[in-house]
Amino acid sequence: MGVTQPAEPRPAVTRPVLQKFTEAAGVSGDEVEIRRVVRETIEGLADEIRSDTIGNLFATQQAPRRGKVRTVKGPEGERPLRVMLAAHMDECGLMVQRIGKDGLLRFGKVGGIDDRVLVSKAVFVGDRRLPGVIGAKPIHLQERGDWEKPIPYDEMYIDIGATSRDEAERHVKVGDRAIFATRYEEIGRNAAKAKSFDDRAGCAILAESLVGRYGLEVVGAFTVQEEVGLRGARVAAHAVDPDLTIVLEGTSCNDMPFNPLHGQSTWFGRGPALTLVDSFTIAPIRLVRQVADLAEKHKIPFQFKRVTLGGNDAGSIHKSRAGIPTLAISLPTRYIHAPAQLISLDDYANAQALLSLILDHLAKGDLTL
Amino acid sequence: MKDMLLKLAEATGPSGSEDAVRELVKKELAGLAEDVRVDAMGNLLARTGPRGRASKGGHKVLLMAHLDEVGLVVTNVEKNGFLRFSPMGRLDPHVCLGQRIRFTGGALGVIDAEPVEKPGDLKIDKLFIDIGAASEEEARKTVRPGDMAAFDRAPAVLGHRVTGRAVGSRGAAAVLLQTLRGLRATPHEVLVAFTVQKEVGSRGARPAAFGVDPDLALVLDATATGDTPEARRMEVSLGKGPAIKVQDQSGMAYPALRRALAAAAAKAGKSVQYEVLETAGSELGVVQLSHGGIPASGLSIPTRYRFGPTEVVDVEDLEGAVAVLTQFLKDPVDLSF
Repeated sequence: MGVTQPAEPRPAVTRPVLQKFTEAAGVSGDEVEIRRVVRETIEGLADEIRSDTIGNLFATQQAPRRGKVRTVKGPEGERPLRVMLAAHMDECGLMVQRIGKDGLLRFGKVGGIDDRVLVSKAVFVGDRRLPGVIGAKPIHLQERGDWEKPIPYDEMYIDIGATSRDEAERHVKVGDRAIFATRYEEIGRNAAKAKSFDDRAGCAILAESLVGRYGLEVVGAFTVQEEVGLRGARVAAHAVDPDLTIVLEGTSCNDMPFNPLHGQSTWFGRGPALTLVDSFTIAPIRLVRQVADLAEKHKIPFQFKRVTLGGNDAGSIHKSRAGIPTLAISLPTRYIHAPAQLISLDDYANAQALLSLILDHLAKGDLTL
Repeated sequence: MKDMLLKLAEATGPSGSEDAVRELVKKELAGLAEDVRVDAMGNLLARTGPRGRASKGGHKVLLMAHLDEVGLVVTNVEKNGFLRFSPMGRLDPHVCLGQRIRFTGGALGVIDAEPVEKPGDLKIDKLFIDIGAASEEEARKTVRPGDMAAFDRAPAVLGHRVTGRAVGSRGAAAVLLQTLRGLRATPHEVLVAFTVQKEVGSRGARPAAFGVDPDLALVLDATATGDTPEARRMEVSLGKGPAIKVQDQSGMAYPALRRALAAAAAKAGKSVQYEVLETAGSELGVVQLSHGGIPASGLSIPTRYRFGPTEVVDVEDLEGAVAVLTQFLKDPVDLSF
């Protein structure tokens, strides 16, 4: 099947936002830089922007005073339907755990990273983006057998060019995070490469959706610590107490022709993926089917995720309070959790289009919760 | 009791697709409880007895049993009309092989497998479902990705026992309904929750407990037994009475509730066992962590061959559970340590 074209022209802001968001640092637990970048980007697009004690960033758009607003009856009387849009700011990365006498940095992994993607990668360490390299023995000096098994992460180190602990400690502290030094680039026919589409692509879709206004109360929640156990989202959902949540995510995509169909998860370039069931959530399937019908009617390409592996913030959100209906719209992301990930910009545009379509129709009352 | 169990065990309700079981239980609840409602997760909630803590020594008591059962969800419809699927809960690929399954929409399917070299290679992704369709197009007319199914196996009477799929947990639900049916005077506000999505990680129980906000909770569910040939050691047998929950993989029971259940059993003249379940968890773990912490224990139904199509329970254990629970609800509960 060919690459599908976006249903609507993509907003001009897309590319700079994607670049800014994916290149910002924000390893789980240390989302300071990405939070600042997101906040700067959405300034003026919400009635209130605030962060909470765990580090989540919230942007609230009150329902418009004029025009049709969808309401619900709560204990405090009639109020606008409250929809939370959630995307996580954190990314998988590394954390300095020990600085050796030799000036080399021993590190731990934050989030699910395959050891095999680490060796020989360029990284940035700490707030000041100190360049470093993950080192290993050169092939010339290896013995037979060395290359037959992957090097475990705890036998690797980050080399920042320091020759002693004293020298290294002038630049780096234990606990500093490290990110892959990958630049955002557009490649191929309409694809982009970057280090953290999971889930900065979701953050970008969310940020850009705030340009619009909907007949709803919309709370954008940029969450923290998803990659280490959906932690920020749990707090966010409890605090926001929405009637519905839409999670915007990057998901696995392994659609190479040599893989069996039922293990590919998603197709690249065939539209955003709707989740029916994953490792942590059974989606409200009737609502997902309504969304699918809506997308079909408006000719927005979409697909269902075809494995039940993986999970996202929906896993903790939908069990919050007395239960919160939660949908996930995911971008197929090749080489997810690796230093260079790939998305289709068509999928990106179609995810944006699908999200605004859902919000418009939610406001109109077309979707039954 | 037996009839109620047979009725509940007929309905198909894999995790996330519990509608048929919920409707059945809802009908049974009519006249037994009030304020019947379904929450955002799909949990069926109701109440009975005096409101709040009006009477002396009365508590808000939550009784919980889950509606769902182990099943599967369709992930792919292939070109030739075969379906691929993922497990919902503990689905053993070897048990799946050669089974007939029923979708919640009513359609039937049979499970078979790609050739594998050794039995150990038989994983879920080697299995497929045949629904009698000759092409993808034909298959999609009946089944879509996201549709769910469970083993197609009607319950049957096996001496004074009952066999079938999910008879353990449906037995627990039947115990809850029968207890409500016989409930006369109680000082407690009795809140009931028939929950969803237990088999995939007790997902319905957390929102249910949060929404109900009880003073104490009892989880009714199936538990394993150690009484079959060469079974893993476990001090629970079929036919020796319901098991008072002490501990499972999800958590530890509140000691005062264990004592209260034992006292109720003694008063009712019923034998009970004690459950230390090392191979599975229950809804106990999430219920007891709701709000500021909720004292919780449970009464479990000894169940053989759990999660398969041939579970076996003893009707006397179910009747014993009703008697113990009924006695428990008659008296005030001392929650002090």
